[in-house]
Amino acid sequence: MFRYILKRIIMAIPVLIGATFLVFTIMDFAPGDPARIILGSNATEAALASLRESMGLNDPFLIRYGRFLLGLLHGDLGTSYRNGKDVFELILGRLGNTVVLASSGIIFSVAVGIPVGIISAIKQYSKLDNVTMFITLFLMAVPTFWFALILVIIFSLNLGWLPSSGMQRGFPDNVISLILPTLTLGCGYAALIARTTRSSVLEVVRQDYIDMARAKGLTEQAVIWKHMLKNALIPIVTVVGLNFGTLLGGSVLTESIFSWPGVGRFVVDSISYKDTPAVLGSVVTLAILFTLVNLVVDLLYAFLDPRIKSEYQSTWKRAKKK
Amino acid sequence: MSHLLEIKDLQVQYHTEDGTVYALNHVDLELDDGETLGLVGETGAGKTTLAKSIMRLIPNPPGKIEGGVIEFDGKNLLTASDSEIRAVRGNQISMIFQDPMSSLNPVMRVGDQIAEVIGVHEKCPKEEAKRKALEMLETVGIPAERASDFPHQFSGGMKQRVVIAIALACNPRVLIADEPTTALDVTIQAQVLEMMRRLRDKYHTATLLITHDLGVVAQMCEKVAIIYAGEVVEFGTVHDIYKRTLHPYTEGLLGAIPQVHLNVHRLSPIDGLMPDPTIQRTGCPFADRCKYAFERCGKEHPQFISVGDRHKVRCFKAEKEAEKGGMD
Repeated sequence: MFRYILKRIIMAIPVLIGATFLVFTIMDFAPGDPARIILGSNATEAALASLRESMGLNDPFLIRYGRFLLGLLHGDLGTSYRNGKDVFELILGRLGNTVVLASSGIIFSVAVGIPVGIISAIKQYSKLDNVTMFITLFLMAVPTFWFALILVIIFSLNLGWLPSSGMQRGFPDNVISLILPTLTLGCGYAALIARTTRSSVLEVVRQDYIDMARAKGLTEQAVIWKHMLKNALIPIVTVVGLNFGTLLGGSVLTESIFSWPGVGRFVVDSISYKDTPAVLGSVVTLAILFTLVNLVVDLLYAFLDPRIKSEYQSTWKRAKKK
Repeated sequence: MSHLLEIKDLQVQYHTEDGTVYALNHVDLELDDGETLGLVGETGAGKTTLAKSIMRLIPNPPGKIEGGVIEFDGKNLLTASDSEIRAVRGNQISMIFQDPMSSLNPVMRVGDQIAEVIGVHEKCPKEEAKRKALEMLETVGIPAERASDFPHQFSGGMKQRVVIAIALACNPRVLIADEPTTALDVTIQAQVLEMMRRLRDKYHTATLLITHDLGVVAQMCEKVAIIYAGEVVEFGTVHDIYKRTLHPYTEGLLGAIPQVHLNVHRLSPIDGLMPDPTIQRTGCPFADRCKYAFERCGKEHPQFISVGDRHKVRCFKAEKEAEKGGMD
């Protein structure tokens, strides 16, 4: 198990190099002069030239990329062109907000999606199932920005219950300001998870071992939770894991609409300023996070399905010794 | 005399988009304590439906038990409440499913799967249930240390042993075995049957053995019920069925068994197919394929009549012969 984790972490290195190289190249080809961004439009030509020289911007492309990688190895993501602050600290300040938003979105979508999917599957082709499936299809098809605006119109403008944007501090304001962004993110994913759960449970529901579980005299609850759900869980975990990874990558639209100070908005802003260190730093951070989430999902597979491999201590060994 | 398990006039139908399937029509069957009854019929005759009806496991929709009585130990299972039927399932009546490959939960340790049924019915602490599960594994010839293995680590025959261990864990009074060896290869079949016979004798469990293999029936059973198109057409002791065959369908089944010691060039299969189960018929369902069929067979439905001690048959020809025999 440990060797597997180590292997997966080592495998993340080429991914990181590839991702940073790509972003570095694109940022380099994009128009705009970092020296001018730093010094402003009034700077003299001589000042610009000397700054370029001192920042090493005149060096060949590969040398500059190599310098970036070297800094990365020392945990140094450089300083932002925009305000001269340490990129790592800038990202760290925003990462928490993104993680909070992504987590609440995922928790909401799982908490709603899985039960809805199970009920839909068990009552297949009932009115409830048909209505649910229609709603989920609608939620999945609706574009985020439109849905967010509708939520704002209803809950902020008309009802006045919730703030339309921004992140407030202090309890309970912070939770209240989280509700609309969470709904925006969560509803679509909840719909996706509900549909995945439904089809996955439907595949399990007619299996012989489910009849067998009933034939043992188990209650219907035990049959569903102990026998059906665990077998149906793998496709669900895949969907949840991938979504969580994507959400951590910053839900740019949601964060922009609700002025949520997260990484997604930070990346967009940094790109428009051609703030290369900030963009690269964000990409590295997000790639690492994405890799970690995927690793956790893969480990979960092994935990859920013994056929994939599980390595945890068996309670049976203890029972036998007695 | 009351029987341990008695099925009277059982009717089961599946209501599908393509019409109603009459899966079981007026089935009568009885099983006594400690006895083994073979239920023989071809694919689609309603064998599995009958087994699942007893356990009340017919998926609804589309299936529905339309009428009849299933009496177990004097109590009608069809009118029992959900909690009453749960107390019977796995405890008083157990079932072995056809395909061991799919009847074990792939993500649960086999020991846990056995311990689960013990825990549900015997209300004992977990450690106690686990200890009993280990004993049960040994009983079916699997070393106890394999309890922590998962089903995919077992072969087909071993899986069926585990299924049998689950079925017998609570020492049930009735075991329903739905083609327990069909999915296994021949050498393993013999082993599993031998083990089932040994355990049946040890625990004195009444068994309903569903099969389409008359050879297995001759080996294992005292009584036989022949089922055709959702009805029992002949019922009797193994001796009655094999030596005093009355129903032409039974005769046909017996004729289709290869006999090595006889110089037969070709087996004699029964011509034709089972009638469409979505059509309700007035006459005998076997009439179209029966070489003895006469006018009455196409018009009237034969009754299930007794012709001897416990030998019953549903056939006009047999009825006629019995009357003649009675006059002699």
